[in-house]
Amino acid sequence: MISFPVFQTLTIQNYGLFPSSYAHPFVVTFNAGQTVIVGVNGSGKSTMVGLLLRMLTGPFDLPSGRSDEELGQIRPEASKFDKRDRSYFALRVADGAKEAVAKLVVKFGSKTLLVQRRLSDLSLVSVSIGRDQIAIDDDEKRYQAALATCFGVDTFFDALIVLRYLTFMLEDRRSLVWDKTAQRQIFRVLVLPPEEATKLAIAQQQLISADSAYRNTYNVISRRKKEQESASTRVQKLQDVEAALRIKQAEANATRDQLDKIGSLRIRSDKERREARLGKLNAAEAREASVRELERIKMQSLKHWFEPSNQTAHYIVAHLLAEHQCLVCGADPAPNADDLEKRIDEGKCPICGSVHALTEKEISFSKLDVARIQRLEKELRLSEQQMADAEHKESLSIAEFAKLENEYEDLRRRSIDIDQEIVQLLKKMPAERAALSNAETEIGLLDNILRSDSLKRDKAAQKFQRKTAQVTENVQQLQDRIAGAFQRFITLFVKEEAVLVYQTIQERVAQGLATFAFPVFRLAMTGGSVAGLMVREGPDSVSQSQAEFVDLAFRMALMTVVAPRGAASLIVDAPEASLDFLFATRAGHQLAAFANSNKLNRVIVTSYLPSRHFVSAFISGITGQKNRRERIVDLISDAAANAAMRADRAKYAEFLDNIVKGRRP
Amino acid sequence: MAFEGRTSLSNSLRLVLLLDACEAADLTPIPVSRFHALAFLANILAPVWSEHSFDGKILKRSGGPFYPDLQRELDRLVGLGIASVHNVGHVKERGRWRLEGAFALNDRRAKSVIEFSDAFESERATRDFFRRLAFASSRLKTPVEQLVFQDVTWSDQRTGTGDVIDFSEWQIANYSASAAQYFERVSPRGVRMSRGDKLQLYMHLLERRANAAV
Repeated sequence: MISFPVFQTLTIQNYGLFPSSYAHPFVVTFNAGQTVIVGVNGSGKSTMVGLLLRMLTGPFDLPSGRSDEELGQIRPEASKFDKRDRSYFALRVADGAKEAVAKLVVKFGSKTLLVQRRLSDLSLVSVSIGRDQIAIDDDEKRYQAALATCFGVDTFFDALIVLRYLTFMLEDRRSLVWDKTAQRQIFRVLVLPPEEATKLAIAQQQLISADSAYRNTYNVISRRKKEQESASTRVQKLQDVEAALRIKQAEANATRDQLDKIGSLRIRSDKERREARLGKLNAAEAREASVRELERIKMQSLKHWFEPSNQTAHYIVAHLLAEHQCLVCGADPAPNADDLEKRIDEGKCPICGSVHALTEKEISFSKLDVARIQRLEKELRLSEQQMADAEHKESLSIAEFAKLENEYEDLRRRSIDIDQEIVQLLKKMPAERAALSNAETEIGLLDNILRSDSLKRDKAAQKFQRKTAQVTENVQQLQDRIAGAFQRFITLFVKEEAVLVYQTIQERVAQGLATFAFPVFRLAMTGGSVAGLMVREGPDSVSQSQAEFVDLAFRMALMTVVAPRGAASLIVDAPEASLDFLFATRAGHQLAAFANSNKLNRVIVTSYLPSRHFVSAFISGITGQKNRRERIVDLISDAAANAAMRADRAKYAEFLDNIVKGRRP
Repeated sequence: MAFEGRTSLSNSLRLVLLLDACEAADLTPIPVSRFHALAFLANILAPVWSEHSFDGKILKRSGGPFYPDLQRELDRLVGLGIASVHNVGHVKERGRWRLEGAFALNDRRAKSVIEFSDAFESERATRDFFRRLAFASSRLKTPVEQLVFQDVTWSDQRTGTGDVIDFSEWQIANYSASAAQYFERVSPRGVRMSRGDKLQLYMHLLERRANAAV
């Protein structure tokens, strides 16, 4: 059975904010029922309720998740303060609280816990439960275990859950009714036997870890598989390329064969064209020689007819006779070349046909000359024919060579292109193969790990399922009583109809696929703009003031139900801060109702006295001014005075006095 | 210079320009063999003047360069009255007759042709090249038809007599132009060598080689 802390006394020594000494300590006694700590801004109200919390927790707290929703995901271990957080109280006074100590007496059922700490760093000075002194170790493990025992929970972490989500509502306003994962934690602590609660917390953490491990492996595999798919695609393409490569290699071979063949033909053709060129040039030489020999003979026979000075005419005529081509007009053959030759044969002037002037001269060709001329003419015709043949042959061989040359060049370029393509493909192939092989090996290994992770996760899930099913079952058994208690407390605050709706919801733990049944209470409330009850999903769906008091009502209900005969404390910092005067009164009544729901309950609130309504309502059930005065921790009078207090202490005192006396100011 | 099938005005014009260059260098009447040797050098050294070789090949004859087609064209110029022939004769050489004689331009007839060619930039460039080549050869004691045997391309032993020297028709093997261009690389720093200088130096090289060969 869980026990809630019931605060008895807080004794402060040598702490500047609350003037005191060893001889005259600052002592706050928390009587059963209501206590209100009043003070102006900066007088130390929040510091005092904060000190109540830290006296119990020391320099530890729940791990701060990134959001309230993450409470369900955090490791069930307390988080230790850093130096700055440990100096929270030291930083609020000039002397660093070097000599300051505080002592808290708290009851848990029949157990009385006395804890004494230094305010400079929250370190323990002494701890005792009843008459038993608890040894103090560096990380307070023994104290924490003792505290858990006082709470009736298994771990210090669970004690922190109770303190933060049930007992204390401080400035950070941790929410319970609006936070499904926080509800899971609090139900775990409240409805399971202590050891089972711890086992469930461990099972959940194991499930989260197993799920995380599985997902990490899965993600790695997914990435690797994508890479493998990509590699496979590439390899598939590569296989296509390999097929193309084989074709290309065959093509390359064929091209090379063709190149060899054409190359041989080309070399032969080149040789042929060179021979043809040489043949033509030789034919031209031969023709030239024939022409010049014939020309020489004919010039010889003509020399009598030309003056030595007129060599050009002589040359032209001789050339005409030799080649039968006119050098003057270019006619080939010259039409009158035969006539000219006939005149020479007849011993006449070749130009005008005269005979008389040159009769005594040897003017005609001798028979020997004629025979030689005929031979030379025949040779000239032959050489001309040879020349024509050679030109034709050269022309053909040049054309053939050009064709082969083009073909050879095309093949050579094609061969180079194919070789380059083959080189590019060959460059890619080994890397792709190796990458794929590596990916396959790695995926194989990861698959094994994933199977193992999956088994571990399934096992963790089954274990968690068993544990959490017990929580759900227990909460289901308590649901009506919780809802009923809630109803009683919330009715004091809101005029709307507001009920807690119990639901068993299927939720995932962490990001796993498996869902588990969890108990959860939701607020359903009527409103001005809605017809009938409407489930409010979050604190934003109601007003800020409603959200806080709905949550307080839920806490009250839980503490009332899970420890029906046990006392509890509820400590709320500045509950009226956002309330108008009507709601402030209701808030006072609601908190007072919880204070009075068990004769030993403590409800400790702070107030900066924005109005009289809240405090008046809160203490209205206490009869007698003296009794009421005892429920007020008056920091206006007792705390270290700041400027406002020095200036207006009398006004504050009168305002508070009126409240205590039940007078209207 | 390609003289095959040369009936075009362009080919005839080039021949006229070469004769004109010989005229300017006081080489006319120019003997047939000298004229053909000069025509060969004009072909093989054309790249030095950034000109194209007109004929990239020649039959390597023991008697030196001779272009039958060029001669036919030259004969035609004689018939047209643009050129004149002097001391016509024929000599037998290794069983074959060849023309001997000297050719010159007929100034009166050639003048209009040359004036016509001056209207064209490419023809003017060719004329400058021919003239520079003719001047370079005219300054040497050794006749061109003898010098040409020392030409680095002609004398390249890899091509035997009776074979075709192909220096730019089907292959690139113009060692003569390369040698002429090389002078600039070996000249003293800061000395810029003109194309004419290169031609002149190359002709001197041929003469030195001819003298050394004697």
